[in-house]
Amino acid sequence: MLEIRNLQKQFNRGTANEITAVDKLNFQAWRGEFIILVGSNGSGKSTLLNLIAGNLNADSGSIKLNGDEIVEYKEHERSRLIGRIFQNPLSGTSPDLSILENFRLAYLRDKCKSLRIGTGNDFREMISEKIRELNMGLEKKLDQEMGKLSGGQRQALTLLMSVFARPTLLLLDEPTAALDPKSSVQLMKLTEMLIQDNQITAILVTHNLKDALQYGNRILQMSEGKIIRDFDAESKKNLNLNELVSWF
Amino acid sequence: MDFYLSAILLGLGFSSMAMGIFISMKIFNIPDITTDGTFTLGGALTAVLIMSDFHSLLSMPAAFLLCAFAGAITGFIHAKMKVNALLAGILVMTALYSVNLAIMGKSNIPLIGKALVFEIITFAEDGNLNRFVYLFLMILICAFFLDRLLKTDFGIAMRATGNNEQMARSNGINTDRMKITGLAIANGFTGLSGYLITQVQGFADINMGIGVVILGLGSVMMGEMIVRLFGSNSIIIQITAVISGSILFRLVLAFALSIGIDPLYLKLVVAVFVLLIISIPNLRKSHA
Ligand SMILES: Nc1ncnc2c1ncn2[C@@H]1O[C@H](COP(=O)(O)OP(=O)(O)OP(=O)(O)O)[C@@H](O)[C@H]1O
Ligand SMILES: [Mg+2]
Repeated sequence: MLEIRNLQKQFNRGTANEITAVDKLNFQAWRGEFIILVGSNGSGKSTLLNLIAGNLNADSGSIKLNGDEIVEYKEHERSRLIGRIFQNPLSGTSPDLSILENFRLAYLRDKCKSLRIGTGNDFREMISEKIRELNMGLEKKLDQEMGKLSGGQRQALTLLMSVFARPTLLLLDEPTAALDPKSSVQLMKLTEMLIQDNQITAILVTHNLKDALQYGNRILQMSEGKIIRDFDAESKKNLNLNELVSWF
Repeated sequence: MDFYLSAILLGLGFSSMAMGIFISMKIFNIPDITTDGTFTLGGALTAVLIMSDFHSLLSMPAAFLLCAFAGAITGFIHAKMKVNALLAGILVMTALYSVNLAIMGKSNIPLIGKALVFEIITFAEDGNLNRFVYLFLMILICAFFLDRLLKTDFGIAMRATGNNEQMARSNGINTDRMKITGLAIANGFTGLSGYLITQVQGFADINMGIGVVILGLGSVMMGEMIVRLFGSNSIIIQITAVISGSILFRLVLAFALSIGIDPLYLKLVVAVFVLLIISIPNLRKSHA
C-alpha cells in the first residue's frame, strides 16, 4: 500500500522563479489498484512520480510503502520496491548491454551484484521463455544490444524488466508517448495484464484520454501540484469522453 | 629490430594502463586524469620496495592496491562530493605529485643490482625476448581477468552505470559506489603499468607519468578503430584491441623517432597523432 502525506516539492526555492510543483499533496493507493493520473502540462505529474521513485528529493512530507517510510531512502534503494517506465523508451534500458544482460540487472534488482557470472544457460532459458510471451520474436535475439531495437520493442522489454523482480509499485510516465498507435495498444494491454497478474499497485500518467477511460480502476487529476479529482472504479466506469475532456 | 622490440615491450607495459583508461573512459565516460599520478605512484612504490629488498612480485599487488585507493579517492570526490570528474582527477593527480615525491625521497630511483620480476624464471636467453614473454603473459592475465570481471553480475552493473545511469539506479544499482569502485579498479590497472614500466626501463622517475593519460586515450581510440575493422563488439575483442592499440601507438612513436624527429617534439607528435585518431572517424562522417 502507498500512503502519501503532505508531500511538497518546490523548484528554484527562494528565487523569483520559485515554483511549487507538488503542493502538500495527499493520497493513498491500495494493493492491485491501477491508477490513471491525468492533468495538464506542468501540473506536477512527473514530479510526483520522481518524488515517489526517489529521483527527486521531497522538501517535506512522507511517503510510506507497505508501512515503511521511504522518503529518506535513495533512489536505488527504493527501486527494490518500485519499478519504472519512462516516457523516453531509451531511458529504461542500457543500450550497450545485450537484452540478456539488461534482464540480468532486472533480475538482480533486489539482490547483490556479486562476482559470479549469472548469464548462463539456465538464466537464458528463463528469460527466453518470459520474452517469448511478448510475441515479438525477441527471444531469439537475447545477445543483441538493446540499443539496436526499436523504441516500441525497448519499451515492452522495459516493462517486462520492471515487473520482473515483483515490485510493490509500478510507475509509468507516458510510456506510450513515443510509440506508434499499434505498439501503444500492445504496450497498454501488456501493462494491464502484468499489473493484474502480479497484483501490483500502479500509477500511469497519460495524456491519451481514451486510454484513461479504457484502462485502470481509478482516475486522479492533478492541477498546480494538487490532486483535484479522484474517481474510484465505480465512478470511473460512468465517466465518458466528453466529461473527461471537460476536466481540462 | 631491437629498436622496435623495445617499442613493443613498452607498448605491452603501457597496455595495462590503457585497460585502465578503457574502464574509466569507455565504461564510465570519465576521462580520468588521476592516471598521470597513479602511474607514477605505481612506479615509485615499486622502485622503493625493490630497492628496500622486497621481492619484486610483492610490489605488484602493493602497486595495484595503493593506486586503486588513489582512484577511489577521485571517485569519492566525484560521486559523493559532486565535483566534476575531470576536476576531481586533476585534484588527486596534483596531490599525488607530492605523495610520489615523499615516497621516492628523490626525483629518480635507478633499479641497480636488484632482482626484477623478469628474473624469476628465464624463458629466453635474450634479455628483451625474455621480457617480452613476461610482459605478454602478465597482460594476458590482466586481459582475461578484466574480461571475466566485466561479464560478472558486478561487471554488468558497472557497465550499466556508465551506459545509462538512470536505468542503473532504477534497477537497484548504487551508482555512486559503482563509480568509486570502477575508478579504483581502473587506477589499479594503471598502477600495474607503472610497476611494469619501471622495471622495463630500470628506473622510476617523478615525471614518468606526465601525459600517460593521453597515451591511454590514444590506445583506446586506436583500439576502437581496430574494433570497427572486426565488426564485433564483444568485450574480449575490445580489450584485445586496446592492447593492440597500445603496442601500435608505441610502434608509431618509435617510427617517428627513427625517421629523425627530435625527441624534444615527441609529446607534440603524440598530441597531434591522438587528435588525428580521434578526428578521422568524424572527418569521414562529415564527408559522407
Ligand atoms: N528540474 C526542474 N527545475 C525547475 N522546474 C521544474 C523542474 N522539473 C519540473 N519543473 C516545473 O515543475 C512543474 C511541474 O512539472 P512536471 O514535469 O511535473 O509536469 P507534468 O505534469 O509532468 O507535465 P507534462 O504533462 O508536460 O509532462 C512545471 O511548472 C515545471 O516547469
Ligand atoms: Mg511529465
